[in-house]
Amino acid sequence: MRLEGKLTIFSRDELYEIHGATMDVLENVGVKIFEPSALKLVKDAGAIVDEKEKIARIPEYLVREALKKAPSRINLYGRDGKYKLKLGGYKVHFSMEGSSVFVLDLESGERRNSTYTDLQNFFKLSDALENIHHASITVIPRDIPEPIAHVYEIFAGFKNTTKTIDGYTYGQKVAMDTIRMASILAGGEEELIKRPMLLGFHNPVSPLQHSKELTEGLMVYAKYKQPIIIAPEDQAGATAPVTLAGLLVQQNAEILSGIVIAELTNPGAPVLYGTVSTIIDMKTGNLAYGAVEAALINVASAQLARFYGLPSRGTGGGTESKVPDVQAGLEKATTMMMAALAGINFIYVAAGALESTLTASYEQAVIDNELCGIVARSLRGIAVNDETLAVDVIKEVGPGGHYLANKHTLKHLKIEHFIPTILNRQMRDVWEKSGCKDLRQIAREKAMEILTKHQPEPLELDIEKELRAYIKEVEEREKCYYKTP
Amino acid sequence: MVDTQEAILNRLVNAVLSYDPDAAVEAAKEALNRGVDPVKAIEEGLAKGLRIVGERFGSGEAFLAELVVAAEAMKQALKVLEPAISKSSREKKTVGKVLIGTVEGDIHDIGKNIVCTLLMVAGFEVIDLGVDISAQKFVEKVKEVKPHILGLSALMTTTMTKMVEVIDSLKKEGLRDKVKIIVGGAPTSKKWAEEIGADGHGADAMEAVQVAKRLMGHL
Repeated sequence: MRLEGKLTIFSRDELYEIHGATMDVLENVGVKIFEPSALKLVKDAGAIVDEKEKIARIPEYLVREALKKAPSRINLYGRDGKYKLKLGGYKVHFSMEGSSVFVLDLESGERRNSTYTDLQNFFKLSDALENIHHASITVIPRDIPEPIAHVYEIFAGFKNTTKTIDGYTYGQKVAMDTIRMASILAGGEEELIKRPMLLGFHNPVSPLQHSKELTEGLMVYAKYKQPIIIAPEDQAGATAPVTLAGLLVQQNAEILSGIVIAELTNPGAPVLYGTVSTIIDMKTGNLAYGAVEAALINVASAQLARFYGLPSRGTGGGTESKVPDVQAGLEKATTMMMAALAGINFIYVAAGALESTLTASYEQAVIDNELCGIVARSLRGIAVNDETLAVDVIKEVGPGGHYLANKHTLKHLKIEHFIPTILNRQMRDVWEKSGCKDLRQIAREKAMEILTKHQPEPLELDIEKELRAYIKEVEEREKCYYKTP
Repeated sequence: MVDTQEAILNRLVNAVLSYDPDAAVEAAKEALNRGVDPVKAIEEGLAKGLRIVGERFGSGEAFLAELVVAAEAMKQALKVLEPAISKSSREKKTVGKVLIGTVEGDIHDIGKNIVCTLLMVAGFEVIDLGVDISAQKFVEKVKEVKPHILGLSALMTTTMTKMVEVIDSLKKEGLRDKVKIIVGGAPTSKKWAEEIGADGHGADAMEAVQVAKRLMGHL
């Protein structure tokens, strides 16, 4: 039996209790919506709106109508239309870290500001790492002026990987730029709608607010039917109740109100039930992404998403550690394994994150790729059938024989066993002879090798030209340039 | 004829490369039917294929079970080819002759079997005595087959001391300096090998082969 989705946390009754409490919050407290057109949409649909406070109190029937319109399965395509993620059901996918502002330099090991070169490198790395399904905008290129950074981010993604990539949804204008660029690859807006290529992000601001910019982005992506993750970042004890059940109620209200906006904008808009929520560390006041409570919130969110019939997005692989060390390993393994066992469809930030996602690390990404492989193997569980029970094989080998030379072994070994790429299983003498390298060192060498050797599929020249022309257009519009024009 | 020979040699190589003992046996029979020199069929067919698999295993591209089956394919095809080799050319060109076994009181043999396979891949002639072999039996066999290297295997701390017994017996018979001794198995170590007066230690199967080669002066 396979293991994804086998880890659940709530009874059916408890799910209804959380749902009921959420409806109470939505109807009686409401959410603040800063984008006027969104506020008008929900008002026209039947929400009770306080125009001055921008607060919409949303009745349950609006939520139920929205949930009816939202698809339970979402396809997201890579640039060539062949690579595809099917989000929904129980299937688990892993993505690279997103939006870090620092990088651990691969040569010096020092933390420094992330650059456009880093961004390209991380796309390349995502393209090469076999257990990473989705290439995120891993770092913000801090050498590019902010008003034009998004077009470079999208360009770097499409150029350096055939895997699926992030979109960018901070504001109407920015979101439209990404839609136009993806349309160039898809062969027009109609084609892009049929074959979505951008994964958008809408992060409600806890408690209970939808910012103007991200709501604009949400509405643009809903209009063009690009999948959008609605993922609040509730902080238990700070921006949400300290109790995890209370946090889940508030988070649920934030997600569901986001879905109401999306489905009113365009019925059938693909949305993911998301979470980035966790606790704050009460000793320091800092966020704790690697906390076991974050893992519990993921288990709960996966179950709530399925309760509503929606694909889910969570987090796994978060850590507060500043370097790839033992703390990073144990926080990542705990959060990743639990999110995956819970059947979160899309585990964002699965690879390469350090320091509460502020810093991205190449060698950590390589280590986490291995962890994703281990987790993926555990999800496949243990298949039980005549072939795997292997009674005939046991008879054939008999007492005192061995299975190494058996056809059955050869046939199944690569499926039954996870084959590590960087974990060391040598005997001590052999390990000492090969230089007593620890995992970080081995991962660093592998990252360097990938960055030197890996060649992503080249982008078609005329498409690249068109994308570059669009970047130029945006640079002229914003009067802002990355390199001297 | 040249084409046929070339094609058959390729079939032998490919049978080993595709881990297919049946195909290797078929190709070996075909080789004899078509008059291909059996020594050539071994060296430029089977052994060549096994060498390639060995290299792939060394670089992490092939897995242990694949290597073992490749060696099995060669072994079975050898049964077809060897009887056809004339006495004179039967003096096979091997890297060296290894006599190997698990010591008395110990019936663990998977590690030793893996070492046998890798030695064979490396071009050694391997005579495997099996498990639970007494010191006396080792001595008899050393006299009989005159190996270059004697391999002693033990998995347990309780049986590893039997290695001392084997070495002592060889000394008594005046055979100790006629053969190089390698020890291996989970509880053994380089230090242990030195303590008991063995010539080498393999921490794992790959290292055992390297040590064997070094002892033969091939490294």
